[in-house]
Formats: sequence, C-alpha cells, structure tokens
Amino acid sequence: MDLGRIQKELKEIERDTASGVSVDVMGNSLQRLRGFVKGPRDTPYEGGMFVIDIILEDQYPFVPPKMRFITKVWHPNISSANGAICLDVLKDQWSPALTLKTALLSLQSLLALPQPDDPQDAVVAKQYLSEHTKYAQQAKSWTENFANPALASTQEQKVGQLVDMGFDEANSRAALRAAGGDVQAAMERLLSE
Amino acid sequence: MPVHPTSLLAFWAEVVALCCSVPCRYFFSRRRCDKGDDCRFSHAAAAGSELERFEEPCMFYARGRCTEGDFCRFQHIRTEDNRVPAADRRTPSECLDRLQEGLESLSLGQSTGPDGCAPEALGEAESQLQEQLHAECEAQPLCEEFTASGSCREGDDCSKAHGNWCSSCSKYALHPISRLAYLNHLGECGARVRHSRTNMDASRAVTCSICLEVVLDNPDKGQRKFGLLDCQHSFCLTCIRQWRSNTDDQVDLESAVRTCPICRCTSHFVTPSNTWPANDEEKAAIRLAYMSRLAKIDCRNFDFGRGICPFGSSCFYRHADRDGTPMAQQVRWYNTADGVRKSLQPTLLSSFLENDRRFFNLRR
Repeated sequence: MDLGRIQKELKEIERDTASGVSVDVMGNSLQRLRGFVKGPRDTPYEGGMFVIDIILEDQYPFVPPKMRFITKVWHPNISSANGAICLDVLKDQWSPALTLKTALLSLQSLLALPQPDDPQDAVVAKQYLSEHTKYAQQAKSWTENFANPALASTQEQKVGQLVDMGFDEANSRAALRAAGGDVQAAMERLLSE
Repeated sequence: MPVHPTSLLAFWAEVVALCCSVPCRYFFSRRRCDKGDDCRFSHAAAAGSELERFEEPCMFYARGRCTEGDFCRFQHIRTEDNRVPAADRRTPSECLDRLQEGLESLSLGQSTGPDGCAPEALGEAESQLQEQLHAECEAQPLCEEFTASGSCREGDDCSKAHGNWCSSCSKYALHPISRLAYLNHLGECGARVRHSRTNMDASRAVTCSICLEVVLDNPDKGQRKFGLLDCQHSFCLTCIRQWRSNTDDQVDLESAVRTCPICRCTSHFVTPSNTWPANDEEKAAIRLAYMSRLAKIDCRNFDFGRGICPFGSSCFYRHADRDGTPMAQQVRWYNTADGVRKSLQPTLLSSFLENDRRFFNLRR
C-alpha cells in the first residue's frame, strides 16, 4: 500500500475545511478510515453528517477504496439496510487519479443528485419516482434521526467505549443498535453472546 | 546380476577421489573456473602445474584480439602476414615514441652532422616529421572498450587510441592526440548537457497524478521516468504501467484502465521518457525515438515467423526472419463461445498426436 500517498491525501483533506468532507483515522493503521460527509444544501439530507466506513486494500490506489455508509440513509443508490453504495467511480469507473477526497465529494453529489435508473435500493427508487414528496419526507426524517451530528458523535463515543472494553467494533455497533443506544444493555448483550 | 549397494558406493567414492587429484582443466588453462569451490577437480594441482604452450601463433591475436590474454596457450606474436595492415597496428604510444626518436635523431644530426645542416631546414624537417606522425595518430579511432569502461583487454598493445576522461559524459571519450576530434567531442557533449539540463529543469517540478510525488525525486534512480500518454497529463512510468496492467475485475478494462486516469482519453500505449516534453514536437520526437528502438527488437509473439502475433502489421516490434528480412503475416481471427475475439495460432499435427491439452480442451 502506498502510505506516502494516503498521508498526502489526508493532509490535503485536513487543509481544505470548506469542502464539507473529512476523514478520521481509526486506530494506528491507515487501512481502515472513517469518512464524514455533510448533507448537501437544498436537499432532504441538509443538516446531516453522514459517516462512511472506508477500507483501503493493499493495491490502493490501483483498486477503488471500499466505502459503505454507516449512517442509515434513505436514498435510491444507497442500501437502507447495510449502507452499500451504488456509484460507478467506486466500482468499474475508478481511476487512480481519484482520491479519498474526490470520492467523498462524489458521494456528496450523489446525495444531491440521486440516480433512480441505476438503483441500489429498489424500494426507495420506486418511491423516488412515483411518490417524490413522500420520499423527501422520509429522507428528511431519516437524516434528522440518524445523521444528526450531535447524535453521531455520542453514538461514536458509545462505540468507542465498547471497543475500549475489548469488544469487536462491528459487534459493538450491532449490539448498540439492537439495544437502542444503551451502552449498558449493549455490553450485556455482547457478554451473553 | 544385482550390484551390491556397498560396492557401488565404494566405486563412486573411488571415482570422486580420483577426480579430486586430477587438475581442473579450466583452472589450469584460464586460472579461473566457474564452479569455484564446488569444482570436483583439483584447483591446487592445476595452479601448481605450468601451462603447456604451443609453438603456433594465436590466430585471434593476429586478427586483433584474443580474449584468453596471458593464459592463451598459443603464441601472441604479430607476423608480417597478419591480416591487420602494419599502419593500423601502430599504437598511439608507438607513434609518440617514434616522434620522439625522430626529433632526437634530428637534433643529434644538428650538433654532430658533418655537412652542417641549416637550422631552417632542420625546423622544416622537424615539423614535417611531426605532421606526418600526427596525421598517423590522428587517423586512429578511439577504442570503444576503453571509452566505455576505462580499461581494455589489449592494454598498451591496442591498435586504437585510448581516450582521456570527459567529465560531462563520464566516459573516456576525449581523443588524446587529435585536437579536432577532441574539440568536436567537447562541443557535442556541451550541447547535449545544456539541452538535457534545460529539459531537466522543466521536468523537475512535474508530479505524478497517481502517487502524487515529484517524478524526478523518486529515491530509486531507475524509476525516475515519465510515462507519456496521448494527452498532456503526467505520470511516473511505473505508476501508469501498474495501472494499465490492472487485471482486477472491479475496474472496467476499456473505459477505465486503457484511458488516462484524469481526462479518460484512450491511449493505446505508454511512451517512457527521461524528461517531460515541453511541447508537442518534443513529445513526437520522444515517441518516434521509442518506436524506432522497439522496431529493432524481434517480436516474441512472431518468433521469426513461427508464431502468430495478434498485433499483426501494427506491432511495434520487428517481424522478420532470422536473416533480418522483413516478413508480413496474415492474422486470422475467430470468436470463442464467450464472444471473445482471439487470434488463430498455428495448429501442428504433432499437437494432436502428442495428446496436447489444447486439443482435448477443444474436444470437450
């Protein structure tokens, strides 16, 4: 993996604060990162802060980074169940000249301009085409409920607490979701597994 | 009758012991053996024995050079019927010696000569002699081996001139005697260095869009090369080659891999270059030079007419037979069941007879 390039990319993202995207390093490896994308203005996603799980493979930048929404989003091209993204530049149209920043900016523009003809979530896409106002309402309510910046930070803190106790991150996240955000209940759930 | 294993072992031990006492013929004749310490034959015995010399002259030495050097068993003498003309065989040092001798005899003649030679005539004779000998030495070309490496197997016996060190091209390329050749070389070298320095200055700031580093700052000297595409975007040769050799299923071959990572214009090949071309003419010149270099290399697919090159007449490599005669080839194409277009490779009768895997795959 080209560590020099990733460090340069991270510096560039840090320097540019106006773009509305940022990246955090998880732990001490640069293999797993966390991206943050601000919801674009004049869309149902406005005001939200969307968290994206980024996995960089060893061949990066010659293969696209694996990106997935951790925050639940109501969007035709993003799975409402697991956050999988349908975007060509993260798949067959990837180019090594693209960076984490440009990829996150592409996600931001995807939020602004959904492509219902090439859907990831068929239910949302159908709703987007037939009942647009209903779609906008639902997307807005999901943004308020799941992509609230204050909520996101407390959620991350809770996950951090569980990870510090020695639990696996993915399991902690699932347990927290199941326990409705209660750290104590999530911990008991994890211990009983 | 079955051979007893112990007797076989003893036999081999005997063979090995015998070998160990026999002098190694390679070490004996050349004072070196490629097998080194693993050699089964004795190097000590070989080193102790004297080389057996023949009376006959060495034919390679007579023609100009013998790679065996001092270890050659034939006589290194140059006879009158040698193929190299006598004038060509005169070494620069010999020329200088003769010049010195000639001058000395002239000055001796001046002091002791009974006929009392006039000083003007003497000066004239001296300059004539000098001119004549200089002309002989100046006509001698530079020894290529010495120019490149600073040493020559012929040593002082070399029939060609051994040049002096040129610091701009880092070669022994300055003619020791001919002033004209000396100045010519300095002029050429200076122009080349000036040109490459201005080019290098312009290339120094160019960064690769893939690794985001300045191409000429790469710690590995061998990787300080640009890969030129049809567009104006800059990449390291290694980065763009790695991207274009991408066989990952995730990425589309035609619309992503074969195109420029920035502007997505299709480029069919990458041209390596040491400098970043300032304009289109320079780029065209670099491409042309690259193509002409490739055109001298025999195509591996074509294999002197035995194989089929799928690139046909548009292949950059040379399609010729072993004599260098250009050969054209008609490529036949077929579509596989999966819709992939493939070139038809020659099928030999032997592949059917020898249970060739290809044949069985076809049948299945």
